[in-house]
Amino acid sequence: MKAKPLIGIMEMQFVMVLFLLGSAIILGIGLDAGEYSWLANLLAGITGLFLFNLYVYIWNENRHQSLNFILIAQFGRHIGFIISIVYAVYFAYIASRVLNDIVHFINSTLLHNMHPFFIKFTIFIIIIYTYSKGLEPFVRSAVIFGLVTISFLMLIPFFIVLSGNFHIDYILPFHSLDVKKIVRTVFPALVTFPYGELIVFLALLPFLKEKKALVKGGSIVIVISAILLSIFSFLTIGVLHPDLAKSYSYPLVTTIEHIGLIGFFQRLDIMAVIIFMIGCYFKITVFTFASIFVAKDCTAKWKMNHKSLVSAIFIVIIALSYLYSDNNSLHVKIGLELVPALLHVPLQIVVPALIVMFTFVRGKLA
Amino acid sequence: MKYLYFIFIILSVASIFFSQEDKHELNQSSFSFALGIDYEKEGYTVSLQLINPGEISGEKLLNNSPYIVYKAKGKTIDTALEKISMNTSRHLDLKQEQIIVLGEELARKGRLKEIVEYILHSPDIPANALIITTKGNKASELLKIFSPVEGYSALEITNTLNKLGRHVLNNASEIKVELLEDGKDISLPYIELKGDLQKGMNRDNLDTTTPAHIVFGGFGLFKDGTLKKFLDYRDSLFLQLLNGKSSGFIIESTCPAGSEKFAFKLFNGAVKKKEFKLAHDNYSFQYILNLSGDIRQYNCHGNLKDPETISQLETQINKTIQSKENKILSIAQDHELDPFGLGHSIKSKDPKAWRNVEKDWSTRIKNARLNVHSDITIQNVGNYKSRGD
Repeated sequence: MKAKPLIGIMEMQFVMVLFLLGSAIILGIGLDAGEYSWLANLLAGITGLFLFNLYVYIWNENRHQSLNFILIAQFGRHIGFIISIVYAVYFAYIASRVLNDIVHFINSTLLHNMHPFFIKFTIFIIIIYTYSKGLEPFVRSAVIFGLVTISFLMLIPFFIVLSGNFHIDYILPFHSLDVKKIVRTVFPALVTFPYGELIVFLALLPFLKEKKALVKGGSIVIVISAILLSIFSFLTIGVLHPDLAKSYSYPLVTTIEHIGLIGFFQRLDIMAVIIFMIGCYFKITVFTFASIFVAKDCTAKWKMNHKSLVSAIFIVIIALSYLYSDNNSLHVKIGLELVPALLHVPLQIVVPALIVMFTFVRGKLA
Repeated sequence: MKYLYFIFIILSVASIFFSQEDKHELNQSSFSFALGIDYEKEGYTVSLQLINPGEISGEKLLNNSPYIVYKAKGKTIDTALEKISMNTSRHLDLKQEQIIVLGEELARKGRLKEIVEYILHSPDIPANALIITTKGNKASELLKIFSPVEGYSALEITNTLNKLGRHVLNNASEIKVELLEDGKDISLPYIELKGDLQKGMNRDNLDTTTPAHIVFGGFGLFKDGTLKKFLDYRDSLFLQLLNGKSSGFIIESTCPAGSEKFAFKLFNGAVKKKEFKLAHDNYSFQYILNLSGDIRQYNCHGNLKDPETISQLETQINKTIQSKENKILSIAQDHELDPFGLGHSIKSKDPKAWRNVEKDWSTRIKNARLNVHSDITIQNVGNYKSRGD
């Protein structure tokens, strides 16, 4: 598929912000590190910055091609094809996991008795509608939604601190730094989610107009996201206590629930709900788009009917969302223990590292 | 546009599948501001103060009570709530809950932990609902009292407590943290009834000038989630002063010369420094407080224009605070309690030493001593500087 450049760097930046913050900020990542979760988040941000630059390096070295072409160029036609299919399924699976995140969230905080299928179904209709309109309008809408999300994220810290529920004595004094604990939190869970998931952008980057601006623009986004995630994990442990924060299903929602300002601003958790909905919508859509683009590239030579291919991927995503997602505990356990080790690390770190190695060796040989 | 119409139709059809309990229509739900939980041998008695919708809708003046208290027993709080829900035609909305009142008996039996765990777990009850206990009466009885000022006793209790300052009160997650932390025992505010219970539950209560009403009694001291001792409200304020959660209150002291009294109105109080010393296997704790306030009623003979008098007054206030805090400490020592968090301050400064004393801290605290020094700033001595004549 020949990609037509139609996305500006600013729109891409907003998509990345929503992609990185959307669900991560609500699910409260890195809280396992206790009073050092803010440090763990910063550390993960630095590693994420490195990973992102690795992906961009791969993309630049491979003449700004899409993921499928990069894989075929580096691994040969057959292995490259298989890895591409793996990536397409992987993106679909991650989309289904995010879909499950939001379904569990809606079921536990808003609509307790709604059958999960109808929530999945209604969200999916919106995503199908987005796909029918194409990539460009979707990416442009990120600017509007991104501004809403960022303005909420700017307001919430002030509300939390002013409401007097922030206990600095929960965090201070800093006891001896438990490096092992922090490293165990950061690797692999915190690096792969959300930063490693940026590998999905390799499928979308061919549509970018300003190819040179990506390194700087993307790095700024990652720095901002890491700082925001760090601030929010700091606030969360300050309100909920380092030992307890990780026990909540949705720590930020509970944190925001504590806000009661001058008896007027109450139950602001709806802000968290809006942030989560926007973030999840963007994440699912980005993964869906990526999955479809990779699958399309793979099957380009067989002249498949596009509509049936796209429908197949949508059905795959819905079907995968029924895999190991009976309850939230199982879903989270798989997401934190199995998925990083079995899927994230091989596909986000090992394969790109192999590509870089091949590129490097080929450069030397030539 | 075709797509949009299509989505609109599908979403509208999907809304049919919304279940009854997910529809939060105003005319189908009933709001509650206060939840009371009482002891039952196996389980709980839950009482829920439901606002009478007819009374607040303002359409038609109904002559019934502004709120109704439903009560039900259950082995779990949820079954009790379900029973209450069977009694009323409307869906119970617990999302506006402001206070959770625990009956005295429940607190004495050490069931605070279960309640806190339940509230943290519950998706309905908001995380910032305050938890208080009662003295003398059951929670369900106190919720039935007709409040002379606010109309709803839930609001009356909340507003009375909020006057103490927001840091004084505790919500479920803060209590959970204190239950987990070593070296500090919980103290929770309690309410009690002034007046006749039967009279208070009658609407006539609103028609008299001396109604039965609910008052803030002070703080109840807990040990491992079990209520041990009630402090009266004056002592409680001094306790909170040392916990760094003070609100403004009056400190009455004796004059530098003579037995007359003067009043010092405290505005701001903060703990500046907290230290401990180990001497002969006994811990002594040194607190330095920063206080500021005004001189109010003044019966003494010194001239307030004279800075010397002011510093004498400061010494007197200092002495009062020192003796009051020691009084509370001795009450706590009698019950082997540590409401000041003395053990916690050892733990945060010297975790190794804490590990040695942790086990027998409740006996060791009996020998602990408390030294409180206050740096007092008197901002204002009144519009008229009394000459003391």
